[in-house]
Amino acid sequence: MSAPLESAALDAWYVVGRSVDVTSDARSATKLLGNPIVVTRGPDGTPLITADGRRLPTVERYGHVWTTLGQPNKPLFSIPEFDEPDRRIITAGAVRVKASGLRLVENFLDMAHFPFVHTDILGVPEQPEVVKYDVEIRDDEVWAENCKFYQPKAAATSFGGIVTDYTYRVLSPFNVMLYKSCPSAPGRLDAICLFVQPIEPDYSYALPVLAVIDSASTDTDVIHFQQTIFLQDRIILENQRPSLLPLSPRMETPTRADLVSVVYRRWLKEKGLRYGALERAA
Amino acid sequence: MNEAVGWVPVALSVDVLAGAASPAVVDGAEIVVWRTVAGRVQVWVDRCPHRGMRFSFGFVRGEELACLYHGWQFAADGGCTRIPAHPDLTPPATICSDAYEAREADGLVWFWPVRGTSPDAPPPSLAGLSPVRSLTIRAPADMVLAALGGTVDGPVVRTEAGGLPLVAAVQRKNDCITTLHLLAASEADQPAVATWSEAFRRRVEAAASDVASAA
Repeated sequence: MSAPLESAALDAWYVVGRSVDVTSDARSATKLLGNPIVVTRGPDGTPLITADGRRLPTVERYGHVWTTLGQPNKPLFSIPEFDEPDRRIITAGAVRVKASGLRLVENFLDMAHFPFVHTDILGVPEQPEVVKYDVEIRDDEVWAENCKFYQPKAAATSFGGIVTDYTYRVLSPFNVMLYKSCPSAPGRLDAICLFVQPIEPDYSYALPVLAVIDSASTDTDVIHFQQTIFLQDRIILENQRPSLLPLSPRMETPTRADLVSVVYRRWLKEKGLRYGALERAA
Repeated sequence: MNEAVGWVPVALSVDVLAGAASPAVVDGAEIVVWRTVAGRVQVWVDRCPHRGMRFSFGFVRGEELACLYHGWQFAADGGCTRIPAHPDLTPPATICSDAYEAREADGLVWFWPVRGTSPDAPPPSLAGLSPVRSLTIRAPADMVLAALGGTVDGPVVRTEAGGLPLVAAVQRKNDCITTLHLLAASEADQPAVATWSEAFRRRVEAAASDVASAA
């Protein structure tokens, strides 16, 4: 039996499946933070989630079903863009990754890998520079703003390269999203989220969801684009050592381009978050 | 048995191509074995100091190895030469890979498994022998050595394979897997030794799984 969960991990909301996949005629046995849970939908249509026979609180939002093993001191984070009537909400479904959910979030925040891991899609090796951006903590969320990166094909509908503006927002230790300039609707921002269901400290389900203005691509095209990107990232995520995210600054070497990850790690440490993390130098 | 530190064999020279990087495991520790375009063999800890990505997924560019994740480039001595996200930055000298001393001799690649200490002697001499292949066996090293017989001299076993002289340089991958780098007395003996080695592996793996299922 493993050590009890710390409050920073326990008392938080976690995604446990897409709304479309949670039906009343199926009981999905899965895990959250190493604890077996059963996810289904009750006869009244609301999600029904139990751990060891105990009913857990549930929320249904952003195309997914959420639960908690503890007692969060605040409601699920707010992403108002999902309520805009002309937004397409596209959920991609879960991808399994043998890596800590914290590594997944950090990879999502990183732009410096675009030319090398997502070559000719999100970046090109000839334009690798990450210019200075700003990082701030607001309302207990980590924000990275004024991020800019040259991209040859930034979205399923793009033709030709543009400098894309990004804003990154870490909603909670295992949930992150970005806002990016929308090619087909100047002045508005597309939203792409990565919600992580931590199964074990070094095993996660990644559930991406987009809230986009795009009216040209099919859902399938958008999902395929996101899956291509994610499968390229998975090669990295499953081959980072150690698997758990080191929180001690001495273990890995950041540069200025990594500012958001430095702040993210420090934020996790200050919260006392241990699940998926490595505290001491190995 | 308390073993002194000694050279560890990791590959046949012919299997480490110029411009290629491959992973290897020694006593559970992950290493990368790579060769520069000019032919210098390198053995490093298989982990980039930036965000821990395995170097063995990286690309050899001339005399340097570039990490797949962010393209950081490292010279053969281990020092970082380029951080693409900051093209105008000269990487600080403190940013480096963890390099082992690597030596190539008599058709094998060896490394000294303790960084920061100097080897007290060159790798065991295998002069005049003909490298055949590397053979990875799902069995612990002590079972493999018992099955090989012959005489043991550090990492080198001299024995016989179906009547032919056989030399095996032993690499312990972990508690359950052992790699033997096999050398024959001459090129003419290579095919027979290769055939023998496949039967040897089947025998030892069968015995190892018997032991495992009895446990």
